Amino acid sequence: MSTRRFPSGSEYVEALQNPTLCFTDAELRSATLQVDKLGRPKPISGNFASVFSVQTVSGRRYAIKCFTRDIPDQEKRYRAVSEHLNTVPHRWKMGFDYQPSGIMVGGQRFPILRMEWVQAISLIRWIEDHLGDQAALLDLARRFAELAADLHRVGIAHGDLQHGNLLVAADGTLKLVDYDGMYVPALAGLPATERGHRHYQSPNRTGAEFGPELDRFSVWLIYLSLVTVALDPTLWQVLHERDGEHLLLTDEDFANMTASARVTALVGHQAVDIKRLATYVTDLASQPLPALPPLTPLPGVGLPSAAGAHTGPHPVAPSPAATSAGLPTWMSGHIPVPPPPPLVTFQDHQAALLLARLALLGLSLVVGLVVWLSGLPEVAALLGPLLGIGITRALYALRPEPRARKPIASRLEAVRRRTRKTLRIAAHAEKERDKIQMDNAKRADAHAKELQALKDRQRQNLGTYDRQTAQQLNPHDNQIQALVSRKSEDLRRALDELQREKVDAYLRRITLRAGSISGIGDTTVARLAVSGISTPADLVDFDYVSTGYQNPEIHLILANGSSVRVPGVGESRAASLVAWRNIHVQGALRQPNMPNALPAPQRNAIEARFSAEERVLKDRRAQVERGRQKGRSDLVRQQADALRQLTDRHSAAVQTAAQSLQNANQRLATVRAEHHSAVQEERALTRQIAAYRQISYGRYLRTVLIGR
Amino acid sequence: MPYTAEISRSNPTCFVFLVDQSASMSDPIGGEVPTSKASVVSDAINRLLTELSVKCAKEEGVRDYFHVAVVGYGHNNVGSAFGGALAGRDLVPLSQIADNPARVEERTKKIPDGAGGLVESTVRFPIWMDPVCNGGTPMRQALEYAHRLVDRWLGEHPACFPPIVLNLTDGEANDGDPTVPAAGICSLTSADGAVLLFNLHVSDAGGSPVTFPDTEAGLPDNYARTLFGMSSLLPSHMRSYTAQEGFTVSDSTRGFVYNADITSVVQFLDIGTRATDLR
Repeated sequence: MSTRRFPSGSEYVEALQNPTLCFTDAELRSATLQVDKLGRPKPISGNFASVFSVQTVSGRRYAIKCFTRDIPDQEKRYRAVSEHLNTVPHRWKMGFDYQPSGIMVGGQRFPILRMEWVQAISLIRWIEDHLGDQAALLDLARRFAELAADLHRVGIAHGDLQHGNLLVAADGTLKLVDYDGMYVPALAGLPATERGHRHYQSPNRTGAEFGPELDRFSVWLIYLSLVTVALDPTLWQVLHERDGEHLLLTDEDFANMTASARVTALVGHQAVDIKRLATYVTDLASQPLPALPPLTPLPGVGLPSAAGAHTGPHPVAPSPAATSAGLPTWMSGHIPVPPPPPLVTFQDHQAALLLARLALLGLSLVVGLVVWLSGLPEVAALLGPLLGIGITRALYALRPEPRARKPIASRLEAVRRRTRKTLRIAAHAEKERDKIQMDNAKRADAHAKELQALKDRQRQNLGTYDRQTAQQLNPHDNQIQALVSRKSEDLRRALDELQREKVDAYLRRITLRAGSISGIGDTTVARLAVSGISTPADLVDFDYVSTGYQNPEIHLILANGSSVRVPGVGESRAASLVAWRNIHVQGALRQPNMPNALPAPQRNAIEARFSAEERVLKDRRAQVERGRQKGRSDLVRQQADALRQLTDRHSAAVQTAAQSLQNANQRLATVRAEHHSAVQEERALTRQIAAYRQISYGRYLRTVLIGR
Repeated sequence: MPYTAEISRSNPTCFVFLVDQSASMSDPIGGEVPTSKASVVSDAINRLLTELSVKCAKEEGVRDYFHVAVVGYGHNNVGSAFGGALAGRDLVPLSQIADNPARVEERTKKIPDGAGGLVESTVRFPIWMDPVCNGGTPMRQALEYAHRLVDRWLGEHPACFPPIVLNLTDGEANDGDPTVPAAGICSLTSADGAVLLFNLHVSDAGGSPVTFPDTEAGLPDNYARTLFGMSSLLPSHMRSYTAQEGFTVSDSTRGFVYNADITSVVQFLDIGTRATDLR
């Protein structure tokens, strides 16, 4: 297939430094390109294209895709995709405009794709930003399932569904970009333009398929990954390579699902949803692509439940204070305060009052009189009022109001002690809980590091093992290669031999005449004939022969290998003669009777000469390879065991830690609830006792003495 | 299958450019405006580094899919040929290369205006190395130097896509037979296959440019034939890419270019994990 050579990425960077000259579109000619640190247009490159960001004078931003490889029927494909997408209303669409000669590079015009600029981040970064946010991840899985259902419904396959082409906008909506390999029904019958990202394809995708089922495996795989990471975020650390161009699984896993440690981790997972989905996807890897079913999301997983299900950033347990019977503390301020209880005053009880007055005044008078009469020291007269006070106190205590107040006061005292105590205990429990949390964070960090270290070490070890294998196989490969070259050299030589006679015969039928070659007339023809050259078969080449003088002599090389100097034939005539000969050789090779392949018996004979040796070499290589393969599968098994042991140990530790955190939170919740109820009670009692603020002995005495 | 490892940030590979800086490189070669072989070669290096940087550029900047060394040989010694901030360094992560050219030149170029005429315009062109030509041609030593760099790299990155050593020279080695250390380089392997040694031959011996030939017939001189023989066979995906570009290829096609453009080696590399297209 003849393909046109497209500019390279850096050729585009060069041309785009002058947008006025390179673009065809008027809006783009006046646009400004985003530049890199060196002040040159900043590319974002893939293997087939580089994309540049431009801003027009009116402030619109576009992504301009410049292609570095020719894609057959590109215009037709984009038109079909565009028309088909126009009929569907989905939010994941990205607008584009294909301009068949949108850019000029080196004097030639090439197509560009002008695309709407999508402000969004790629799937992997989004996942890493939301690890542990189960609601958000499940919501994304749900949105992804919707997108897959949309594509399926309208008969579209993206062709390269993968993390780089799935962007997440700030509002959480998914954007699907890069429609280069997209299948729409109008394109049925055309070949595929790409095979898709290697870590997202069914091992059964041959690359020849181009139909609505292209994405089936990728869709299941992405859905599995999203659900898995939502349900068990630790698996991201375990299965995703740092900076890796994949989600949880890679092409190596699909190629051999049963031997893959990653797949085992998923299929053997304790979460039923992960286990079920993973088992299902594993099974899909062994089926032909067209047989794969469209995505059916897990019931109940990531489905939109009641409103507000996805609002919280973390699926945290409700705050401990709120679990108690009372309102959470922060809400107290918003609750209307009930009206205060009515003020309690001394009931008007004339008889009791009279008794008290009599006791106080009577006793004072009687005692005073007795002291005066009996000549006791005057100080003793004080006994009277004191006695009166004692009696009024007793009378006060008998009154119903102080009697009602007393238990309230003592309960208040007790509850105040309880408030202080529970506050102290709560502070302690909180400190304890925080410490556990911090320890857990530290442990998680240490686990992640330990895991990364193990994975790095394992990768290094396996890589080194494979490298040794390659090193051992290399000499065998070289020997085989050398043998193959020798064989094809022999085959070529044999064919040459066969052709040469016929070429020779053909060349002999052509005679050199004056005028056959411009610049060679009768005299030269005659001189050449004297040297034995009269047909193209007679000469092969020419050569420079040094004479010691300034100019070398030109010698013509004859068919028999000897060379001859022909007077009057210098460099230019010699070159013309050789060119003349070569033209006729080409003519001879184009003759219909010219054999262009060796006859089978001759070919077989040559091949037989090499086949025994080739078999020996290949057997030897296969033997080395088998030994190495056994060693490799042992190593892989050991590594998987080590990884499993580590992750088991980690998850046991995590479970214990989670339990102790839960216990600590439980304790904290209980004591907070106790504190809260104490506070509530204290508040209620304080309000109650406030009603008795006029009930005191002092006030009583005043009433006794002055009547109010 | 060899030569299928992914080239990614978690699995980078390396490129070693060997640049002949001997006195013979000052000889001019062809064209309407004769240029020295040394400027042809330094120009090729600057364009290769630009091409690699563009190819590995992503939203957040250039990714370290490659670590690159530019090793000069001439003046009877061998060492880093980077200018500017990178001077003296061997393997450098590509992002640092992209950010640190020795300088950025403003070049005036006549470019077609689209209406049949030519317009003068300026383009910014990053420069990492300038032409140098001095002394002998210690090609053997240079190949041994590359061998050490690549060997150390392979120890640290055993599973990488096989490193590529690209030698740019006029072929006139004068410190012994280069074919022995060349074979030494090609005997190194990663888990994904043998190291690739390619040669760009810049010559004033004339003859037409040759790109990725499969036979030494048609090569103008012994230097070219030696360099052809030292060059690795192209792995199959590179062969099919070469074929797509319109060149004829066979099982014996080698990574050798005579007086022609070599920047296409960068296009050979499928970075990241996109499988090659199908044509």
